[in-house]
Amino acid sequence: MSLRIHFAVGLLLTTLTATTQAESFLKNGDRVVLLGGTLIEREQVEGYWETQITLATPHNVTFRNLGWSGDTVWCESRGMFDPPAAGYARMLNQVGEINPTVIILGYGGSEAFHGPLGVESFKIQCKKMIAELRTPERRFVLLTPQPMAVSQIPGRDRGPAEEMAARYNEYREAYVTALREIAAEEQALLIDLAEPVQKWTGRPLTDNGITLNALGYWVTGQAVTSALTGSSAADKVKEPELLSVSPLGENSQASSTEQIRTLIRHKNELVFHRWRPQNFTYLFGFRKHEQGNNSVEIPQFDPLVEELELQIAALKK
Amino acid sequence: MHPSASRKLALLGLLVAWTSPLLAQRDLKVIPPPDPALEQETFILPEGFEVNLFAADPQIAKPIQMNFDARGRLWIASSSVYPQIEPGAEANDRILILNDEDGDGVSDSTKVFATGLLIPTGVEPGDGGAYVAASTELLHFVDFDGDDVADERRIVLSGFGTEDTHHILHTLRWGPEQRLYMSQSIYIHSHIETPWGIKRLNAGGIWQFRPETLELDVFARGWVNSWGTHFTKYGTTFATDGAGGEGINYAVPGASYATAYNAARILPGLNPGSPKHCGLEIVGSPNLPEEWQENFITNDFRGHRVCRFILEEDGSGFVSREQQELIKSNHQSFRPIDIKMGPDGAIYIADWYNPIIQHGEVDFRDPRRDHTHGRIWRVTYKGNKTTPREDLTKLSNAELLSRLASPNHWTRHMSKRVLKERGPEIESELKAWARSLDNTAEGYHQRRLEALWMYQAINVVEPELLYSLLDSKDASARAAATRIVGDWMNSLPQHLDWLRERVQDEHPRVRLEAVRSLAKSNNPEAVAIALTVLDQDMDQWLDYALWQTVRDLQPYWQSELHNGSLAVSQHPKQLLFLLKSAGSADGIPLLIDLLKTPDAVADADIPEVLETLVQFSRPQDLTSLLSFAMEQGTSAARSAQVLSVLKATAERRNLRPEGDLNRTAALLTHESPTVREWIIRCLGTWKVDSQRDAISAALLDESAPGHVRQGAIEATAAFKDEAAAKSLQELARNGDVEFGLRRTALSSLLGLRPKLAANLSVELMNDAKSSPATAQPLLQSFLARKDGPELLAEALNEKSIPSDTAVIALRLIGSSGQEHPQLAEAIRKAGKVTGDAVKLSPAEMQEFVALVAEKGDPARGEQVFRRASLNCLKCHAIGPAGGLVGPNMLSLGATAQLDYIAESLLDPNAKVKEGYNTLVVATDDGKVHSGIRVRETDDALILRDAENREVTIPKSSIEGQKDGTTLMPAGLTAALTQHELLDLTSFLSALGRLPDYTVSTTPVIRNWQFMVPTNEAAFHLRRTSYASAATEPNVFQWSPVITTVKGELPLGEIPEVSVRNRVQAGNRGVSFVRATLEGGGKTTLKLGDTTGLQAWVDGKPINLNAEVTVELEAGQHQLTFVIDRAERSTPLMVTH
Repeated sequence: MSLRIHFAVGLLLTTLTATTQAESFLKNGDRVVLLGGTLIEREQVEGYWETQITLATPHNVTFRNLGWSGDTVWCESRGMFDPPAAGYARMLNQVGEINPTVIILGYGGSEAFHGPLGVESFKIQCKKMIAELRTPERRFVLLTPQPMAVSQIPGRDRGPAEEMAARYNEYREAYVTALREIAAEEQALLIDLAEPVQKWTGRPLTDNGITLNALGYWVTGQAVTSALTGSSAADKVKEPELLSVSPLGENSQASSTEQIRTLIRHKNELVFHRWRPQNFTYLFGFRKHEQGNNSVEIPQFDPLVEELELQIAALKK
Repeated sequence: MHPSASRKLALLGLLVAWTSPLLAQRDLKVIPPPDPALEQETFILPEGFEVNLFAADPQIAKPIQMNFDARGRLWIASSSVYPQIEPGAEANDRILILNDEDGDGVSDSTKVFATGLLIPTGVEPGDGGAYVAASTELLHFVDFDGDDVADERRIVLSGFGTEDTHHILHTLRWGPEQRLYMSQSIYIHSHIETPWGIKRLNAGGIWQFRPETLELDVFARGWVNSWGTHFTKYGTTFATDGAGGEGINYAVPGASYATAYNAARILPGLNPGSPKHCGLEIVGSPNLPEEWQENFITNDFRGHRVCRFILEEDGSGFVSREQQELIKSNHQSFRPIDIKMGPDGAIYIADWYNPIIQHGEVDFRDPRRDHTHGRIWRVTYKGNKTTPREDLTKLSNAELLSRLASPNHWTRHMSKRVLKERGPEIESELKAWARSLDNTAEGYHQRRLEALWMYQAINVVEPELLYSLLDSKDASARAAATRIVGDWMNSLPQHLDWLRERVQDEHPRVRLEAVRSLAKSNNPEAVAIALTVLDQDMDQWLDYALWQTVRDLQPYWQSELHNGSLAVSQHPKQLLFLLKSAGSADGIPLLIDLLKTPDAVADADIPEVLETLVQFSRPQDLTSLLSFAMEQGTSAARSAQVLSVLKATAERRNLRPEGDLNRTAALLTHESPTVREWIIRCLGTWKVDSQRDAISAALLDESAPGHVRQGAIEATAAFKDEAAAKSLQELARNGDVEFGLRRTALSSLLGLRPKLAANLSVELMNDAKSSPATAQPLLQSFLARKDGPELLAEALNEKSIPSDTAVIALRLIGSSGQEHPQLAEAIRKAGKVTGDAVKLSPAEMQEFVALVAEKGDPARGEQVFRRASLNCLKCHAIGPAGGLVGPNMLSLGATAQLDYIAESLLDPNAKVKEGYNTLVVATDDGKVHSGIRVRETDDALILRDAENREVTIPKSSIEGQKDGTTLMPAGLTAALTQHELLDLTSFLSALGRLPDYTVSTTPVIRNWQFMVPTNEAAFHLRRTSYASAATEPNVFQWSPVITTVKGELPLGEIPEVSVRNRVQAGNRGVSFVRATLEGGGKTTLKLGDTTGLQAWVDGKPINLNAEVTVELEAGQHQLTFVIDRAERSTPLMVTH
């Protein structure tokens, strides 16, 4: 099967990228926070990266996905009723509460639309974010945005799509370079998502040219897993089928790895309700005088999340 | 009476009995039984309409949005989780498909298409399944095997905000060109990554999305919670707001509406003062009566009503008038929230069924909140047959194309949907169909427009058809085609030429669409083309559209403007519009040039130009303005205007012209006193110390006009030092100086030496030159300061002031909105204002009578008479209208002498008209009643009290009685100044003597009631509609008001009800008045000018013209008006 070959190539390349990783980057007891835009946010729905890592590592590692669509290193998506700076401060607090040992940053993809003039300020702000997130025991991982896949941008009119993709991909190069420099300067692990994507020749990895689909997460997850654990879970997690139905469909027939993925996705959903609940306005925002009493429910998600994590750990063994 | 009418009246009785729907929310105790039959019984429909239950719980629950598919099945987004997921609960909300298999108007099957959703707020079938709005995502579900259960779930877009679960992505609808329109509401902040860039939208707005290319744009911004979007058959776009109060909104492409994020300007809705409206549909069905076609229907979910509006073109926009409701109910749980035309031509209404709405005000977990019920109601017209249903997916392309001419909206919309999904392969048949259309048939242009939209839907640019529509005889078709030029711009090399023609179109709405389409260009020429719209008449929509386009295009024209290559530079009117719209400093030098050009700026534009200069001028611009003001050739008026800009810029932005400002001293000797005044004001504001002497000289220059010296006073005060205080004090004390200047000096001194200013003010009020009117501004400056009232009260201690001045001062306090009891007491004491009668000697009376003849003004006197604080009308009628406690004054002037009138006012008990002495009655319960004796029966005495109420006293309870005095209070005139007393006397003496003060024989409505502007009334109106003043009158408090003697209702005396939402800027109040009409056949009401009026007779809207004929059954009828105070200031007068 050609898949296996492509996977092998991807593994080889990522191993080359993460050559400094003789042993597992992840350690037992690590708490991982993922921060970024849609790249990170969709992973909580798909769950492939997390499932692959969980199955590949012998260690007990937990994950908190704080991705927010459209986000940048300025936290432009996190301000809500406030300016981005307030969203940035809120993000720092949330990370502080989770107190992770590893932070994975998936930024640069949205920023790249701004072109070369934005690179320098991106770099400065990204370094500022790392500095402000840094504690002595925290390790950082930077993901590079994958290039736009022109053939996967929908629509019959190819002209504008080709123009957009060519421009974006040129811009993206500059941001990837910046990320490499940041990784070197900040002693962060850089994982290049472009390589596995570019080497892949199977079914499309995105539905729209920029956002990874289930297969996209499965493929890039190999690279992420390999870089973080030094080993592979490729043979443990099945390649996604063409069709996916409802997100949390319980299936007793499913393999145990698929059951783990289901638990992980369910856990991610509860984590989402915990850190980014609906009705923020009434629970914590400027109308909390009306429904703020109900905010007591929000921490009640914590034991539910912990319970699922115990189930995941049990199933993994 | 018609049976339905009698039923209606009976129900009306019920309606008025309930309390305001929202006020009742928190106190809701009785949950109505959920039986749909009981709910249906409460529905009142227009004659000839009927309603049936299409679907209900337990098959469906909590429908949030519904849309039909091309097979005629109804898709429903349904949520039991709303308003908030509970920890441990599963997000198990569903998408349902209802199918009326046998076409009998009742759903026969319910399929669960998708489940596992978190509060889905929108569903629109399409592309092999359905698009679903759920939480942060727009999802697409596909059913591959046709079993009506989704097989694939794909995230199409993500990053929609969830800050409020009734604001999250909602209201999905295919536009006429098959793009998906979706809304989000005020608390939502969305950040969407697409291949075309990151799209962000803060607060509310309507998204425009093409799923097959992922092109995502914002169509319009704003609104509080816009759960209704729709398009007329010509694609003109409208929206409703589920939390706004402006009814139907005309959605101009790219425009901003109330609450839009960061919008410098917004457009209003068409029905200010409406309730919140949810859902929007446009009637198009052979089943419904002719006059209902193209009516707008929407839901007032708070008021349990399904509402109807008729829109008419008005310039480049529309006017919208509410009609009788489609459904009216008093069922506490009937919550119509979505409305759609069905495949059979019936109207379908989604009833969310809940006694509790909202989740801001009522607890998330309130046990009364319903999570299980929901209904779909179906309304048909008995007079016509419904349209037989057909499965459009089974039709050929040719058959579908022929359906584009269908009068049934569902057929037309859904045929396009099926054709669109068949893709570009339909192009040749589409082309053939468009060419085969009969150009003599009615609706020809609209059909070609449908063809053009089909091209747009399959993403094929068709310039030939587009151009022919741009040139069509049908203005609405031209407008729609003009919008498409904007969409296809990048594929149409000639687009600017085409839009240039349409900017000059004879129809204003075509011009508007052209102006907005130009905003999509990146060519610097586009703005110049757009600005040529100024060659023809403008209106508020066009002015807004042009302003928005100028702003949108600023990145492209800015540099052209700098290098002088922008064509507009040659057209002052266009340039002016461009510069005043720009909102930046870049155009300021050009604006200054324009100001320098003779006749380039019309007088009407001057205020806006000056304001733009104040807002954006930089120091170098101010320098240039100053040079201009100082130039020889500059007119005095222009110099003064420019100097006023310099002063305002220094005050508001702390910016001043560069260089040594002593050079401006040359202007101190300018021949125009106005220029001298303004340079002095500038020198003060700039604090040019070296010109202090010049300012002082102006201050003391007795030959200088008053306004120059006023300027000098304020300039002096601006230095805020000891020398300034000294000068002002000397001036204020100088009895030789004109009174107004001394007063200004004191007002200015108040800021520097408050205590001293207060003492001097009391002195000034006693000055021989002082008068109550001239003291007024001084009193106002005290009331305007926080410590002012206290300072003045202290200064008045042990002092006296003229009593007229005291009266004015007390009245000022009364209108200040604060009581200031300490100051009021000090004023009463100092002014010796008492309530005692005034007795004049014969000589004084003679002098008074002479003064009335010399100075009294009956028109002003009538205003005094009508003043609420005097209560004259409460007791006295003039002809048929007014109180009955005192004598009717119908012909007072014709029968009574001036001295009698004067004496009656000054000393009411001196001569009391027979029968108007009071009777004071003591009863055995310890009470004392006093009033005019009205009548007496065997066992009761009936008095009329000072409040115009009849008081019935059982004779058996009377312990004693004696004659009292008149009810007319002595000392009434103490609240009047001498002038007012003269005017009042003059008015009374004119009654029945002068034509304007004689009650005419023409029947005119004199007895009115106005709505009391209570918070409750405003609260209720914000949640229902203006119409509720007519339909539920007893919810409101009404207070009597009568016309002037002539028969006019002066609007200045009618309070405004604050029906506007707090989020809306500006104050456009409305007033409500009503009167009783006696029925019995046809009545013609003559209204004259109907500007700003809407009216109802017995709760039914009537169309207003100068003359309106209404057929009234015998008996009493209620005529209710709403008066838009922003539109109307002239009095209301209705004869019949």
